[in-house]
Amino acid sequence: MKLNMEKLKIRKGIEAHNFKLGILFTLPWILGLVIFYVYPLISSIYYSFTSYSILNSGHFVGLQNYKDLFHDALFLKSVKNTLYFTALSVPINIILGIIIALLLNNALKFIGFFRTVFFIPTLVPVVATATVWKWILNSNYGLMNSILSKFGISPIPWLASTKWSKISLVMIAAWGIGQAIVVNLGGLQDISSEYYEAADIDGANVFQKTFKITIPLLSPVIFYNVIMGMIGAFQYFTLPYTLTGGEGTPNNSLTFYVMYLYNNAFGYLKMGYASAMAWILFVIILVLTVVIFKTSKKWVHYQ
Amino acid sequence: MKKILSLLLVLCVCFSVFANGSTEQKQETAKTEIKIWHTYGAGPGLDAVQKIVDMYNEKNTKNIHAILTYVANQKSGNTQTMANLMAAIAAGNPPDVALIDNFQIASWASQDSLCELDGYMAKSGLTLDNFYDWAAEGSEYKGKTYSIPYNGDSRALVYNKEMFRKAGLDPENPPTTIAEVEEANAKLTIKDGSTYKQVGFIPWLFAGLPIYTWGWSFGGDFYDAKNNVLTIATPENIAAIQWEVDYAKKSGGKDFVNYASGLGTGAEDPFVTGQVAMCVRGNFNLADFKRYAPDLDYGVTPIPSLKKGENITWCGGWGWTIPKGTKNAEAAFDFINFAASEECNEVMAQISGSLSPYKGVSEKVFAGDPKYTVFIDMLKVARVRPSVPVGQQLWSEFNTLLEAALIGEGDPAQMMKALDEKMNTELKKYK
Repeated sequence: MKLNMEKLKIRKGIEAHNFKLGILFTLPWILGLVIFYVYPLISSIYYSFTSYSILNSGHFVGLQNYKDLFHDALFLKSVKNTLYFTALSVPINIILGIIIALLLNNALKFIGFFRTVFFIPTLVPVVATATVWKWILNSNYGLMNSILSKFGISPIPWLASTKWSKISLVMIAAWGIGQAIVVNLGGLQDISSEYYEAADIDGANVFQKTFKITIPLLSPVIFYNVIMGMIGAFQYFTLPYTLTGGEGTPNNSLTFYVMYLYNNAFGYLKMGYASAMAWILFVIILVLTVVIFKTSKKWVHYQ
Repeated sequence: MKKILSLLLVLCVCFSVFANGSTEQKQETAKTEIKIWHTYGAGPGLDAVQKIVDMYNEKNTKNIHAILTYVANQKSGNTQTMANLMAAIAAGNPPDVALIDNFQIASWASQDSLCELDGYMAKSGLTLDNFYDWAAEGSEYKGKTYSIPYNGDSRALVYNKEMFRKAGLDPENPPTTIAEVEEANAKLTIKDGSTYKQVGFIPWLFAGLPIYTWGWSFGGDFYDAKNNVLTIATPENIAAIQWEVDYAKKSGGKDFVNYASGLGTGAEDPFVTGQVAMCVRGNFNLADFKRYAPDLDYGVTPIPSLKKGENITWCGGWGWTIPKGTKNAEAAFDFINFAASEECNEVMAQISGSLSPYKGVSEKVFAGDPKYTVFIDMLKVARVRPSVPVGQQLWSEFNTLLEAALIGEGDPAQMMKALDEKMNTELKKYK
């Protein structure tokens, strides 16, 4: 008994010592987390209840910022624009990503080259992408319209009309799905070939193999892409900002949520207002993520 | 023994270093250093401020040394902000002088981040009397001065004389009223199927985009300074927008608007490429015209007004400010006082090609260039955008409103009245 008690004490002593050492080693990371993450987070909530403007600490206004937001027509428009874009862009990117990943999953001779080609757009800085696409989609002498005119289609006002501007953006965003494709490829190669062999023996055709084997076994990766895609789409900023110089032309059809937030924070000196916007966005994304997680049990199959 | 000797050696070296250091420090503390922030990248703009700073460092007798630092200009929507300046003021460590867009003075002053200059001006005897009204107005907020004007720009109608001749119009008799410009446009517009070979005039292009341009040209106004109320929905302002909407409809409706929004800039500037015959531009575009089309035969005339003889222009410009929190405000103002002199204004205009807000300077400097004449003549009657803290937001809202009206997604009168209410409610929040 005595020996056991002593062993226990020594072990507790060692464990406590190790614990203290552990904290000491992770202290830099903890400090970084608190100073650069937790503190700004809490400050942001606080500022959303004030009329803070960076230059001036403002005064406490309670829920006024939030109330004003719901009466702000441009805010509501930016929410609509962002929802429209997300609803269009995420499914298209998922489907396109899967199709291209399936095509790239073949062991053909120069498949490495094609995989690289599809991944390169993600390496281009967003500003460069925006500049090039602005040129291609120019209504009067863009590449797109001149190609279409060879087929007899009259010029489409890609970035000049409220109807087409968001669709143009969905197109440009789809051009950059290289990352999703690579993730899908990884997921595809994780699927054991045994399933396909069994299916071949049973005489399954391509469609049955895709929808009964590939998609279900790829569902964890698809799930990941849906969540990340949705979160990314809701925070879409750099591309529309560069395309329109922050103005959301034409007629605020490209005024996205985060762009309006940015303009309010740094342009109109209404940081408190912008902080309120940031927290509303957080709640929206949180709710949607929870919803997707809950429904995921029905369609995501983990191996 | 060795240890003691080596210790003594180290101590000697340390003392000698400190001894040298202290004498250097004594020489430095005599000079006051002031930091000046500006946003000019390489080019004539930078050369001009550098020359003024160099002149000051040479000539000032108060042992003040000014150091210029470039800070990136950050665009946010339709505004430009020296983002670093915001952070520096918030951190309590701002530069002593900041050269910022006068259009922002009201916002920053209302946030209590700029020093009032009236006290310093009274002591040194500097007044804004030598500057044009638009420059003085743009430097004030709630009756107090927050900046001293540095440069300025004005707007006028440029027109392609060659295209005028081809259309049978007299190149020495350009349109001066709205009716005349519409007439000229009819003769100068040549359609090409569903698009245009050339267009006479597109009112909302470039410097014609801000509603301010046409509102004032139609006899309207935007701000009642006495009562601090924005007068957005005046009948004249609404008439101006209605005119633009009708103009768009007459010229081809949505097709015309789309064509206009697809026109380019820089080397693809439609005035340079001959796609548009008349255009409202700023004097800052003259250098580009020279660069991209040196042989372009064009003239400059005041912006057409609704009633004959009531032509206007409006000016923007940048100014010297002293951010709050600087410890060398007196020295900073000494520099600004120097920079506000006629001599420095001449230097600025000569080197940078900008117009000067100092009366008489632009006439002297640009006497040899006929293209500048109209831009300079109009300085005497120039307007300035209202100096209110909601200026940037109003600017964005105006552009949005015009776009919506042009594509038929809103009635001008209704939208202006709604905007009037919205912006005045915003404005009241600033005490």
